[in-house]
Amino acid sequence: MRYWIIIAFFGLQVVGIILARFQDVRYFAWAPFDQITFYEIYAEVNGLSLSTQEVKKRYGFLSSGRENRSIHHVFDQLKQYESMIGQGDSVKVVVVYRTNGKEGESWEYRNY
Amino acid sequence: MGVSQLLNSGGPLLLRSDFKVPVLFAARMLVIYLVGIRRMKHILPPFLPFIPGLETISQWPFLFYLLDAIYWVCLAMVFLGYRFQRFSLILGLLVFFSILGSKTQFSNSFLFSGSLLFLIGLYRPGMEWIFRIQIALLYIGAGVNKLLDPDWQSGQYFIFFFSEVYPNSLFQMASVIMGEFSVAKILSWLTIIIEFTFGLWVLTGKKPILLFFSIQGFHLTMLLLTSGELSYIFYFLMAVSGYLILPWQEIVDQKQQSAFVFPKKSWTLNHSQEKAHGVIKTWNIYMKMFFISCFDRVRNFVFCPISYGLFVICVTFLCIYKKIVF
Repeated sequence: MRYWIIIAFFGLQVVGIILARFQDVRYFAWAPFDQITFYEIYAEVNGLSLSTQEVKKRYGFLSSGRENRSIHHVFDQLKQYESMIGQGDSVKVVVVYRTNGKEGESWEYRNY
Repeated sequence: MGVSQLLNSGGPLLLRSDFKVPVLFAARMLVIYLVGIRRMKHILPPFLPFIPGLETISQWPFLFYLLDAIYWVCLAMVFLGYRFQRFSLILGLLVFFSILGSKTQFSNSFLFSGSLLFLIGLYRPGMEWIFRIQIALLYIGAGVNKLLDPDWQSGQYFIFFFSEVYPNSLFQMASVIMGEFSVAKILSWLTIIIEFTFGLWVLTGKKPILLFFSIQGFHLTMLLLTSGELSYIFYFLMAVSGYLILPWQEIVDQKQQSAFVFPKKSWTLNHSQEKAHGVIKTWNIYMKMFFISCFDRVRNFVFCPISYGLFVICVTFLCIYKKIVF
């Protein structure tokens, strides 16, 4: 039993590494410090802009900061929050970001 | 043939040894990581979970009081060394629960610490290979991700890294001589090669002491180049996990030989030997003795969990409080 648990545990990690090749997020792929992104989050809920503290309270991370893993983790969490917890609100979220020193880009989510 | 027989049948990957590696030391160090470095005080209710529906258990706050109590009991028991493997296993599962319950809690280092605790819980003498496979997966995974990333292939990552994120004068100097992209490309490919080498090397089980020191060297170099900021957590975790892949049976056997512990005894030459070798040869022998003595002292320092643990903790906490100036 012990051996099967260990084999399954390592097998899951291998699957995580392989799956990361086919998606933008890199959660269980052992990919620390693969990308460095500076980002800023601008959120508008029911027509009101959220302050830095409100962004932190709503999403659980800073409104501007550095992501040492895939920036898609930030997008994924924002999207998940708004599609699950913030469903009742009219929301527009914009993330302005720059990955690995390249040109700035932006990502947008809105549910109205 | 059952799985357990197959795994214990031998081969370089699955070397069998009945000597217990210092798993208690590793478990205690991981407790220090959770409490002292990660400062994890509570098991938080799920928030943006990986497993849909897991957030519904947030409705039962008493459950989290209970999990908090279990968490602290596990920390204490592991630290005291009382049935530490069972409590390590539970701690590992609590780490997995925290991560699966909250995407915001996810970090590779946190996950790695949970994996180590989980494996320590499942470890039995002769199963040192589980730590080798875990380290291999980490390095190979990191290597694969970097290898397939265009910014790593082109060197773009390191240009940004050493010019904006952690400005480094050595990088700037080398860039003036060789060109920015050339230096960055060399660093990128060097990192990828090192990570793959570590990943494959640890699987072979060969020259584990050299591998252990190479891993330390790799992470300490990163700390030096970033003034102690980048990856001190990974330095800590790799210093702990690397300790588990050392050939402990061999180390203990060597320690039992008096020459290893008290080198002066066996290295004192008698009068006739000195005469026979002559002055120059004697000088060479004394130089050799000096270097071997230094090497042995380093080995004895590193292979003593208390001194090694204190060293790793000191380096990590120095980095946390940014006392290292490069």
